Amino acid sequence: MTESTDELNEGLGAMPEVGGRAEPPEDRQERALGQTEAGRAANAALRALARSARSFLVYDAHNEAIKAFLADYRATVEAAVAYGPMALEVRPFEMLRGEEVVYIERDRDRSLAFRLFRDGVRRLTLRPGVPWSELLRLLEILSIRYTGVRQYEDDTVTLLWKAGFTGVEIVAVEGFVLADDDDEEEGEGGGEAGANLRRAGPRVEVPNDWDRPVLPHAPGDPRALRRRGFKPAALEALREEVSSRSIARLTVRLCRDMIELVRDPTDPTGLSDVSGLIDEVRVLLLADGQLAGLLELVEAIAALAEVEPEAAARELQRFGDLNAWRRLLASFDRHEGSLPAELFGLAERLGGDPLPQWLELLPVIQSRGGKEALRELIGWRLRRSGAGITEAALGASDEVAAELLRLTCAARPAQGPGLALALVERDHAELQAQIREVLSKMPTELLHRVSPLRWLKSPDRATRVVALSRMERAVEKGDFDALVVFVEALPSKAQAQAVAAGQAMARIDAGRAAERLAGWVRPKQLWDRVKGAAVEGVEVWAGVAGLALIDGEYAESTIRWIQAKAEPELAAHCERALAGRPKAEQQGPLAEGPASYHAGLFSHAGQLSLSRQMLRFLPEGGRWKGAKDLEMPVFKIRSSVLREADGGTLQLDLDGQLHRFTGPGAAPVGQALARLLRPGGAA
Amino acid sequence: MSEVPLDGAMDASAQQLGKALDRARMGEDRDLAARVREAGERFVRQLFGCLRMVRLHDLENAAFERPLTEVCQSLGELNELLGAVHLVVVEGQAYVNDVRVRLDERQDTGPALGRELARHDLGGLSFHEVPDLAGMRVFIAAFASEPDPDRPRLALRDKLRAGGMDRLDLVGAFRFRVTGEENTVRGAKDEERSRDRAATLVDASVDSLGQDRMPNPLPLRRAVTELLEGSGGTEALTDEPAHSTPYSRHVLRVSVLALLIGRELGLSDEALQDLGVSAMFHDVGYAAREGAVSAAPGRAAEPGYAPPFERHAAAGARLLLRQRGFHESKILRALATLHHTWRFDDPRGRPSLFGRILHVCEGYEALVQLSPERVSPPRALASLQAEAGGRYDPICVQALINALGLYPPGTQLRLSDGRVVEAFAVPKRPEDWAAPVCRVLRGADGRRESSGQVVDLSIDPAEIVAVLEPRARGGAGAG
Repeated sequence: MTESTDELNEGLGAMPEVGGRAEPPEDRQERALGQTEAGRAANAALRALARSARSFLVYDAHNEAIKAFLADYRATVEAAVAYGPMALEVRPFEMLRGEEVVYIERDRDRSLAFRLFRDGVRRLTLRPGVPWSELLRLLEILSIRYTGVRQYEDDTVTLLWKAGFTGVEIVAVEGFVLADDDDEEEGEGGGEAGANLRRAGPRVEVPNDWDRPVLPHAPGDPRALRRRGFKPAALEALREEVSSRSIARLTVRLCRDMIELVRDPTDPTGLSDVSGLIDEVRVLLLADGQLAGLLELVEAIAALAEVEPEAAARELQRFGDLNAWRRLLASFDRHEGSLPAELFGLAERLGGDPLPQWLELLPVIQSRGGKEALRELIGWRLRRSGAGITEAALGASDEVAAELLRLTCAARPAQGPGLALALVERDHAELQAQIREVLSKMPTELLHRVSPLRWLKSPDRATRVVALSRMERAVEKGDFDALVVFVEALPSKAQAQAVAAGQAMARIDAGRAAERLAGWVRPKQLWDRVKGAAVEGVEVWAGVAGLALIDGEYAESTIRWIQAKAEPELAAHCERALAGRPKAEQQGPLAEGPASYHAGLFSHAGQLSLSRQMLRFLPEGGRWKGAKDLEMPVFKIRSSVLREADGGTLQLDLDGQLHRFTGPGAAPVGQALARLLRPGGAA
Repeated sequence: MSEVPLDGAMDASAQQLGKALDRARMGEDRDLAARVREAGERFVRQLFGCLRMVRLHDLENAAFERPLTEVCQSLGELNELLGAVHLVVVEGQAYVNDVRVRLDERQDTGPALGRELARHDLGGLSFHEVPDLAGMRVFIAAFASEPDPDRPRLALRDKLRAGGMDRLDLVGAFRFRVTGEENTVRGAKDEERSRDRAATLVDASVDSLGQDRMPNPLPLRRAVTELLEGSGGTEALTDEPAHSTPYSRHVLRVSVLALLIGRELGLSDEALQDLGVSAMFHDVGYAAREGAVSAAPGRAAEPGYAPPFERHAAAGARLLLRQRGFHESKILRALATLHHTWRFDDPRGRPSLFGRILHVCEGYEALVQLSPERVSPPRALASLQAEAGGRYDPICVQALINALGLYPPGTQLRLSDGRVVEAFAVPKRPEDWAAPVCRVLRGADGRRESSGQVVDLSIDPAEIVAVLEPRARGGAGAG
């Protein structure tokens, strides 16, 4: 008998936490009963059974509460059968152990007794030593009823019958039969009415020649007939063929054979006859994680494309939809080690780009194994193709984007920075942390393919600081000015960003930076200096940090000037900045040597030297015309050419011969300058 | 408890339960169930309402128009879904075609309807077609009338027939049968009833599937259970169930043979049940109609043709796959039906086990019953054995030989004392394999025996001297 059981889902609200564990509210109704120890133990066991069976209404199988209920169920049953067989008489609303009522619940929707009784169970006996597997199966059958699943193929009694219990004894009604005293019809012509009861309405006749013509058989000799036994292994193999363990294989076989019929032009079987089956089998295989079967089925459907390409494509699409992947990945709950090759084969065979669906599933799949499998799949997809990653990320949530960025960096390192930059404006801590990771590891050259200032769009201060700290040179024309604007717009507490920005300014344009940074630290206007307004601004922090990277006495004196006036915090910053400046020996020239400077009609002998920041020429005697031009910030030098001059000496031409040096010092300085000006060669 | 689950095992248990529920949900046909439940509930309530209302109002009263119309509509809806509608009330619970109908127990509808039926010694009603308003009025009026004290059910039937309601069957009271109860199948008479029921269910399934309805395996499953609980229905190999057709007799014989093989192979009860239901459905493809011509405007469509032998297996699988929802049994059935004509060494691959079993049974049945050149059962077995390994699965063939004995039911034998006997039972013990229990057809003097005398050749001193081939049957064992 089957039953409509929607009502089973009614009346169960959220389960409150009771004593640290969630318990169904109806426990309030299932009273603790029993006058004897055995009775009380039976009561506890039955309440635990009812609670466990109901628990699937509200909890996912992965939920910890389910495990707690199961453990309770097992323990209480074990305790109850310790008093001997727990033989229960099932009545509509109560259960008795002997004469003692051990369970009572008047609410039909909640009552274990009512459900058992209504499903035809009249006696239930649990014997001592009942295996856990049988208790579990009993619970499974009851849970199916509690969760409102209707079964047309099996009713509860059939399920109990199939279970083949050894430690659980069930006395149940097996459907209804005509009562014994059905003599009235007997006297009136026997069972014709019964036959009519079953065969009614319009009749369909099979053709007269069914199963004919009979194909000829080889004659045999009856004298050769013998009774023979079978090898147990052979019988076991046959039994295995129709066991539940073989069902996945059988379902795929059926699908394959039916699809062959669809492909057969002489057979009227169409895809519509088979698509329902394929759908059911697909769900089964996905839920059971039967990858080999899925792959075989997909191959069979793909072969269908020869006759019904559009329909085959439609069918295949369903194997790779969101729901399909969700079911499949859920089956990887206990995944360990590497994923089976069939999984990748399946993804490959299905075609299309599964990435958007996989990303959608990232927050949905809860089990650890499933999530790990999903990450592996995404990584596999990213390694295979870099297409569509940014689009997918932009369409994804922040959490998913962060995960995708991480996986992309691992699978396709070259695409990580681009993706990180595309996501930089998202205000999400985990994502920003991932972006900082990318930024900090990104090769300088890669970082400077676009202006590093683009990273300043990040809403995250820490990310901006990292971006600034990695900035070595200007990439776009307005980068320096953009930095100035950035610093001036910083709030007063943003010292870290100011420091990083100031340093970046010094690195990308030391000459302009020297002036701008000094201006922030020590305003030119006396009034500004007197009032000390600048001292309070965050720009000062930028100025000090940047000046610390710039050569020259002026930079250092400026820092010392502000240090003397600063509050302790800023003073400490100055102290650190000064301490970080290269020592005199570290500031020594990269190259130097005697040289003559030629400017127009003038020519002066002197010493030519190059440091990381400055090209200097010190004329002999110390005074000469145009001396101010001969302390040239390296950043201002646009080009340098070392060529052979008259008399065999080398000649260093800077910026189109505006400045020319000859003599022994020209060569080493010119070569060092060339290295310094080379992209990425700056100190 | 012998097995002590660890924490991990408890985790696995939870997963196992979760999966079982998922599987069960896959097997649901929620839509159909919901519609049957809803329409069934409505129908039962409306019918009960009419039966009560007739005590207050005259049936000709206009107030009856609407309730009668409604009950006809609900019945029509059920008929559309299920074909014939069988309403059974047992122990206060109502079932429509085996689906329990939820009734409001506070209103006592189920028990009260049961009492209404019991007044006429009834437990169930079977509507083969939806009556019109007049027919429903006849039904309600007859029901409301005072029952005949001696033969209430038959009297009610007469009243209904007199009113033109001959498409309604009245069935006696039902009771629940309890597992393991004594006399579940009560002797030969009940076994005969079981076979009769099974045969008509086979025909009914053809009617139903032939009219594009969903397969309903549950009644056939019960019929198979009855066969399994009894002697296995082996009498069907020699006796013809009442009210059966040649087709249903064939299907029933094949089913019995299949169950014999299944038992010999040591299949579980569950597998035997699936095998039996598969056998009951195996030729249902003949109910399909192929090549139907679309209806021209204003004309009925041509009905089409039953598939030929070559395609009936595939057609049967198609019909069975109409059943919605995943279930292992459905898969086994469809595979068995699809494969039951395939050779053991079929180039498309080895057929499923049930398919192989059914193929052997059909081969035997063809040789013994269907072929114009019928042969005796022992010769049929020998032919199967001759083709074992190629056409037939050798293990299945041997299992059939083991189960049927050297002289299967239906084999006519001449004994050393001149008697002609016919085997009618399968051997119960291995040592009786070549010594069947027989009915005497002709005495030692050559005269026909009609007394049904039984001879057990395991103890009878007479020896078998000849197996009579069927073409000599016309001479009543004179061959």
